[in-house]
Amino acid sequence: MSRQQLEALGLKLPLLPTTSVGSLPKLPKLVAARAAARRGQITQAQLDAQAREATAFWIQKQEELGLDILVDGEQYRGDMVAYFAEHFKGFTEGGLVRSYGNRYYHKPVITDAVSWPGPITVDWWKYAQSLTKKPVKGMLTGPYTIMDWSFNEHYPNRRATALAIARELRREVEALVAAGCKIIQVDEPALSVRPEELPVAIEAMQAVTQGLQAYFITHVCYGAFEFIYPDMLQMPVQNFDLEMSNSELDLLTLFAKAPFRPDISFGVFDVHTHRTDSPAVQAQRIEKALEVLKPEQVWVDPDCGLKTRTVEQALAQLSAMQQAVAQVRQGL
Amino acid sequence: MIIVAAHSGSYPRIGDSLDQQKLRRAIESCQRGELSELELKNAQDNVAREALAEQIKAGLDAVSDGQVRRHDAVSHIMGQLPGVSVQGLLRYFDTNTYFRQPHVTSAISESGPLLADEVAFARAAAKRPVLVSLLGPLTLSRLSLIKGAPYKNADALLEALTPILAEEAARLAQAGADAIVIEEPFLLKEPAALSKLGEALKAIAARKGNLRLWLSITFGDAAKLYSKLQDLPIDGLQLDLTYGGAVQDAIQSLGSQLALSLGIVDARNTRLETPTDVARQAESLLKKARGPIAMLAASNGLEYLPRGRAFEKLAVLAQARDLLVDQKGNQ
Repeated sequence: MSRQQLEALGLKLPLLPTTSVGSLPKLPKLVAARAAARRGQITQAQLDAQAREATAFWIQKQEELGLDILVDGEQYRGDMVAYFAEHFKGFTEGGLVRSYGNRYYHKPVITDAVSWPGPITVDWWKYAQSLTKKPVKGMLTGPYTIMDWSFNEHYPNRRATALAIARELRREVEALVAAGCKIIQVDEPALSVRPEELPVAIEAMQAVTQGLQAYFITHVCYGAFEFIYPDMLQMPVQNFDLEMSNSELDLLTLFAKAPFRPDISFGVFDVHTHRTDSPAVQAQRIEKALEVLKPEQVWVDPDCGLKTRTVEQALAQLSAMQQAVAQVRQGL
Repeated sequence: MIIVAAHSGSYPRIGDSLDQQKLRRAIESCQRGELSELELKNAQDNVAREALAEQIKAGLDAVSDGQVRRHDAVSHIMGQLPGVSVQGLLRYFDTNTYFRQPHVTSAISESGPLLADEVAFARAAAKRPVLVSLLGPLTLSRLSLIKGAPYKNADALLEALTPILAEEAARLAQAGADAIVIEEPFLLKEPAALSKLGEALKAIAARKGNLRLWLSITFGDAAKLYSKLQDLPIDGLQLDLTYGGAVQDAIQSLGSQLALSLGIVDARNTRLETPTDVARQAESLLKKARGPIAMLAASNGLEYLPRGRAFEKLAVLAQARDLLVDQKGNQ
């Protein structure tokens, strides 16, 4: 069904299409430029020029590797929630809170009604798409995750907050669709944090995607899926991009009990390790997936964004993934 | 009934000012080999003193060391036990924070103080009652991964952890703690484990001496378990009141034979409560509670808030206590 939808959008993809989740490592030159921008030593225009150069680098690398659906690599973004909080009206930068260990971040605070300021990611998507004939995914953070990872001092409750964000995020999706974007990923890594709120996340995603002509993916990771599966499949998207390898493919056990019917972007390597799993190891994981999933359902990608890896590690891991897919495709 | 404003959990270890980020810098320096472990411990001591001083300045009657030495609540305990190695990151309940997952690879055993030294430090520095909270055996067993150890399942690990934590309770009493708060957030995910938990708490209670033993249920609403929690061998029950209000209804309906600690200011959101509203809600609930003491508290550890707002939330608790005491003259 989803393949028909892709073809109706003009997208003919091979079996086991390959992609990347979203973020790719920032080039060292860009990291230095971002630090210089924070210190006021270079202008936003100079920083944007560096980010465009890095985007072009990653588009070229993904083409060289042979990925089927490309990403812009999010070279112009920092944190996935803070980026949208910085652009939407209604947010202010909060104080520092701890993420883990010795890492801290400025958690956004919703202090007023959230509203869309006009296109946020569209020009970046257009630029990335102009560099390649392959489809480039539009990349957004979902309303439930933006709500959950922000403080709220304005709306009366969490549902009202998520739905308000969803209404405004939909306008960004509409702008992406109007610009010609056909595959749009709306990430919801917080989806499983409160299983009792899954209906809220579904309702919010409905507000974002309903009636729009695009193929929608949602990325979910590092959660307690056992508490929300199979109900999570009610999310109104065509493709679930799931971290599988970090948890040693244990989700396949759930899929065996309750069939997984939508498309899946199947994470074939853990992104939080310096190690590169060999093509043979990654191929074995794909073969395992195909024991409970149809080849027509399965896309192949990393577990999560690659921004915490070095450029060299990410290229090596993606290269091994491409070799693994080529090997498995031969047997189909 | 004595009503106190108290904090037993974490406190933000850094703030937004440069001076308030000295622990972050010290850890980075230590990781680069530019600072010794002793110098890092001194930096931790200084931040623990600051956390205690800020709680006292906010007006609290009982305080914690802010848990500023703990990487996270799980690995800080499990990582000290022989038979455990600390591995990769996992999300901690419904937060955007992460803990390092313990892998239990061989038989665990008691190997000396886990938190007693930290409590002794806090007791000396604070000169007022010190509360200490730690994850209990149910949650520790469920958030650990058993890998080749002689435990056939998580219940077996729970049973192995119980005497270790009971021994630590005895040490905490000797170190000068006034109360121990056993945190069991996993109970809401696995209510069927309540009887196992009850047995473990009984073993801990047997070693606690004069310590008050509290059970804390966070990261959810405990309404469905509330009546059964009343039968546990504990002195008091600490509840998170920020998950929708059902547990408040349960208190109103069933009362409480146990002392209550009301997690009444939201430790997960920056919106600031008013002392008047907190006092009004607390008064309504505490009418239904027995026990010689009641605590006004934050709903959870405060590390999820920016430091300035964490301080303000504690000050609200102290002001609400003052309103209640003024109204009732009950202290």
